[in-house]
Amino acid sequence: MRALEIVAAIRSGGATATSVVEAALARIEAHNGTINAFTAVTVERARREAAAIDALKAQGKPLPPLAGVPYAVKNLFDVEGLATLAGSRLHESRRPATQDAMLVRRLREAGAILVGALNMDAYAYGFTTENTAYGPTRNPRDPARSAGGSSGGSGAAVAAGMVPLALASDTNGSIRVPASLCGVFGLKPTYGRLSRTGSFPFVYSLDHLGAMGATTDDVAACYDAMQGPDATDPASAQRPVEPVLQELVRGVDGLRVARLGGYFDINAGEEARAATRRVANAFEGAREVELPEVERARAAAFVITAAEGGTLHRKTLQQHYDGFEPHNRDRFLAGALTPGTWYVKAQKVRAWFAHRCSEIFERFDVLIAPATPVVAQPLGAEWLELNGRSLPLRPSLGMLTQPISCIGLPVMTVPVAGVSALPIGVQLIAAPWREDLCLRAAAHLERVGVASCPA
Amino acid sequence: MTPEETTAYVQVAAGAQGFELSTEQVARVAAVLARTVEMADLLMEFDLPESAEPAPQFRP
Repeated sequence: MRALEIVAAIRSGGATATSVVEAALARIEAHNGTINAFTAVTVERARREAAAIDALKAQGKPLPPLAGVPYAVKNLFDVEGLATLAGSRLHESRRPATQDAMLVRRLREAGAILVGALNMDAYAYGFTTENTAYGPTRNPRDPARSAGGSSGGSGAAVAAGMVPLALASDTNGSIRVPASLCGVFGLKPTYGRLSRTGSFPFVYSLDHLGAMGATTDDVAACYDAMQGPDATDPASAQRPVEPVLQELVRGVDGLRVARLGGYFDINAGEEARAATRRVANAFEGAREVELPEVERARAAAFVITAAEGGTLHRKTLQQHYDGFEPHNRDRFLAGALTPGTWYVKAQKVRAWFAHRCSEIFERFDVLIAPATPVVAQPLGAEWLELNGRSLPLRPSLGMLTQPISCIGLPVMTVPVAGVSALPIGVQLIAAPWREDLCLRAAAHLERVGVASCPA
Repeated sequence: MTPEETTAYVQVAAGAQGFELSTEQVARVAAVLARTVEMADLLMEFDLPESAEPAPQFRP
């Protein structure tokens, strides 16, 4: 059941929060052995929170907007009583969090019910969720394949129907890549829109938090509940809540839409190009446009990630190299050695690219680009075959998402129906703070049958 | 940087930061850094005016 269907059922008396949560726990029990999306299931807490919602209902009190909706969080979010793993076994010995992350607090206030924590690439540095310590998360559409990453647990939990909503993080594509490969909707809002307080960092100047769900309106409702400034996150924008759920009925009349060509065509496989064309065709009068120097923008994101990520983990690498995730410890170590000149130049290129893209947004409201070059790849694969080139798989899965998050733009990734046997997603990109446009475009694609979460 | 220069850089830079790496570790880290070098080359060859400012705390 979708999140907003659950809310409606509980409001009408057609279901109780307790029955909804018990059903979610039963689905987790049934599927997690195969999919390996959850690293912790918060059974007692979920039952306690569900009982509180049912008590509100019994007392005739108003129900909050996400009353009784089960959800789960990538395990880099603080959850009171759990050690915040961030995908690393090194964190198991840390003291449990003493309070929830800000976004978890906001969802609790909105009546949503936390049912657990989700698997991820260690320290969010990866695009496949092949976690050596906690095992790989398998793609519910084909368990022999990766769910994508680094928020693979989040994408898989939604795709398998274990929860209708999941929270995740996106530094270079970690919401958009698993959303594409698992066939779900994923929103990465503008940098600074959602508070990161109480989440374990990766790259301070690139880290975003967001949500994944099975429909646009579910994601919009979740996003609305999480908005609002937070003085304790230095990157948090001091902007008021700008609700989007009510905007989804407005349609797309008057929206100026363009498909991104050039770099985004060259680095897309056949299915990704077909999906992007299908989406563009759903918008009357959609044009084609190229962003300038996209490859350098991606390079800037790559270097900034290496330098900031490596700096963050330098001491841990010195003390616990052997306990670090083998898939990325050498990437972090190399990052710690990044010369300062490269980092500063990367930040200059980033500022230049942001300025040039702002000029494009004077002409267009929504830009369309593929989210991943290819569909989900087999677990264990090291190389990606793309248009006659052989590329290293782990860094290359994010080559279409990195240039966009490098400049903090809001993006909704939608699963495109009817293109291939395995899911593939497309990015709907807007100017800073215009999440409403991304989500209106996504809702339109759902209405006309172009975007949908596979059954 | 050539592959040899990348390896030499890793040895010196890692040593300067207190890492004691085996020969095998140096080779693995140098292989990773070689990819970053390719990315950095794209940045360093790109001419920007001297007045161009970095975005250390980026705000869109």
